[in-house]
Amino acid sequence: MTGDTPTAFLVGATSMVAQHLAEQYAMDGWSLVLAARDATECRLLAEDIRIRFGADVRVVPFLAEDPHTHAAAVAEVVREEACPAVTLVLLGQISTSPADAYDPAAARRMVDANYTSTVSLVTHLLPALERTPGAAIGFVTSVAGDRGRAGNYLYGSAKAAVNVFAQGLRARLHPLGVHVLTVKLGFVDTRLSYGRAPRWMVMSPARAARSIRRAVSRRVDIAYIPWFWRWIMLLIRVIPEGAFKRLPAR
Amino acid sequence: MRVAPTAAVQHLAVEQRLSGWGRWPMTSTSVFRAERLREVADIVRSIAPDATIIARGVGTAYGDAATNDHAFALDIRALNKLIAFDEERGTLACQGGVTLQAVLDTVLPRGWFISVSPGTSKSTVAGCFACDVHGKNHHTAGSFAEYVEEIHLLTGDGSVTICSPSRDPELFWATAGGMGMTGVILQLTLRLKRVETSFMRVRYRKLRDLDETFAALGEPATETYSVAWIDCLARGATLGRSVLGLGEHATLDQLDARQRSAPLARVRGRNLRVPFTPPSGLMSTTAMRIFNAAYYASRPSGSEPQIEPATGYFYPLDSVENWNTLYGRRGFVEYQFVAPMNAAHEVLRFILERLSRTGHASFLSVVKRMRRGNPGPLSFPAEGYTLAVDIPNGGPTLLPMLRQFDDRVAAAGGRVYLAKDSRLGPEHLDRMYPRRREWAAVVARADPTRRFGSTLERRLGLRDA
Repeated sequence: MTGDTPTAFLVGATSMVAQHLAEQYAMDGWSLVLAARDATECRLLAEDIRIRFGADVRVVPFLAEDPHTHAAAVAEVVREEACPAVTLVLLGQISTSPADAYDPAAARRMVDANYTSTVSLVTHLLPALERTPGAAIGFVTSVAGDRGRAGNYLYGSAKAAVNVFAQGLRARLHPLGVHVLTVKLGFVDTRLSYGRAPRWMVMSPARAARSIRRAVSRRVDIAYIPWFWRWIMLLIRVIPEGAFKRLPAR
Repeated sequence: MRVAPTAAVQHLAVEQRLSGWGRWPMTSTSVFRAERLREVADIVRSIAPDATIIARGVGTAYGDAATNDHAFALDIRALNKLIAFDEERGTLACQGGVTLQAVLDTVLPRGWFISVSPGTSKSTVAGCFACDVHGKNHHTAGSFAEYVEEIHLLTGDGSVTICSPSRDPELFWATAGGMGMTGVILQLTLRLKRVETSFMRVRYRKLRDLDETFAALGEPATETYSVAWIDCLARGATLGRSVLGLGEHATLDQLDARQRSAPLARVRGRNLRVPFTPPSGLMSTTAMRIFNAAYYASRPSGSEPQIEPATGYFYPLDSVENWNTLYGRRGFVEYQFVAPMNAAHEVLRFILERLSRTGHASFLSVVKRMRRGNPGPLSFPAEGYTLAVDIPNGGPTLLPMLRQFDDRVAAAGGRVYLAKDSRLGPEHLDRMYPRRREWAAVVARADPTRRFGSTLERRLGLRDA
């Protein structure tokens, strides 16, 4: 993109995994464009990376519910019709209150945050993606998208939607030499799992970031991180619906 | 500056068995974790009106300073961003959760060092300020807080106050060594020190007994850094024998050709890890006595200055990540005090005699001269001599012996270091820290609803009027 240094475009840049990705790319000499809702936190991250690595870092707002920011973010990264070498979408939000299940506005916000905003972003980026052979775009979703559970079907279904969207995109972009990665994350040691998952099961955000980078460079299609979730979800998907609906809501 | 509350995000606290570095006492503390700056105010305001919370960094305080039994703690380690680095003036603004190691990773390659360093680089800068740590250069340079230009402090109501020695100095100095009682230190600005290389030029002197040790420590300082490893288990004529290390930042011309090719290289050695907690018996007194004697004998008598990497000189224990587990499941107690010049010799002699007679001591003991303290009412350093000793925990004689030491130290006009303390009683507090009530009044004004508390604070009645 910008001469020699490749650019990594991180959407949802202030999550813990994204912060480690940003640090790791910067350490390897990449330029960065960070898009996030929390402008303060994003600026803090950007300045920290500039100071520590001397990297070229730009910050751009991205709010799920504000489509103008989607177009503006894409405009920031597209140069001469080409898209960044790597785009990683880490958008997402969990519901923290059980009362949200009865709140249509909250439900809609969840779908926007976890799915619709991703679709919007990619739609804006698509022309540039199609013109940049060798580029990669990754969607960091969740194992929760593999089967709907009583406990988080809004989040899970939105992630499932992203997974299928990415699948279609993969087939569309493959002939053009553009790689589409889907990362299904298990429990990572962040606020999403803190106090909600047993501590021994959680993976550090730094390790998750390294695994994601590896999956990008190896041009993996669908990655389960950590790896054992592939087999856990295989088993979970195989349980007949009649039995699954009777399982206690975890 | 009011930090705006976020949309309703439920913060969860996870109950954990939490201790300090000495792994004793164990507490049951519910720990919140802040991942973003704006979450700190939310979390502090979210706890019940009668509950308290303590900010916690890495937990390198030896005792219960960063624990809060049956109450809350706030893990600030994710608030670890560097904010601004002025390479002309040598100042670094950063969030409270930045560790000293992270500071050095950025500043040392560019020719700067931390002005005052404690014995580990694992600690957060907020923790260093809240304990007002000191280092091998206290006798020439003073303590950590004296090199902090300003802090951003989040107080009990969630608002943020910026204070410095010239702006709300009362609150600044109450926070220096204030053990987290004034609030959460979100950000600080450090004044760094210019260095030419990442090496130190060190010479060692062997001293045969306490008199020689004192004589050597009392000599006018020629080097910036000075600390004596003292054999706490030596008896009789050898009581108080020590190895004094005197250090200076090496200049470019003092390096050999190979070092000069990369003068600011940060030598990060391979980190060792103790793989499991050994049975407590590994640190037996006999073993320690033999070890100490062998170590002392092995030190060269004449002292040619040698060049060592700075990180090894300042942070010798950091290369064994979890060395505290060597003390076994019972953990250890760290006793550190400072006694004024006129009384120090007598107090040290008494304490060393007791330690070596009872066998309550270990390899890690240091003695150092300190210069005058700073305006912080609860700041530990004061003019005199300080002794710090690790003591394996256990046995019925340990705690009564330490209370005897407290009596002696207090009677001599000295004090115990709260950042290392796990068992001091409230009865000695006001004698050891005569300005404590003055400090408590400032804290009460900053935190009227008593949002901030800790196991240490309750044990000592630190905030009581």
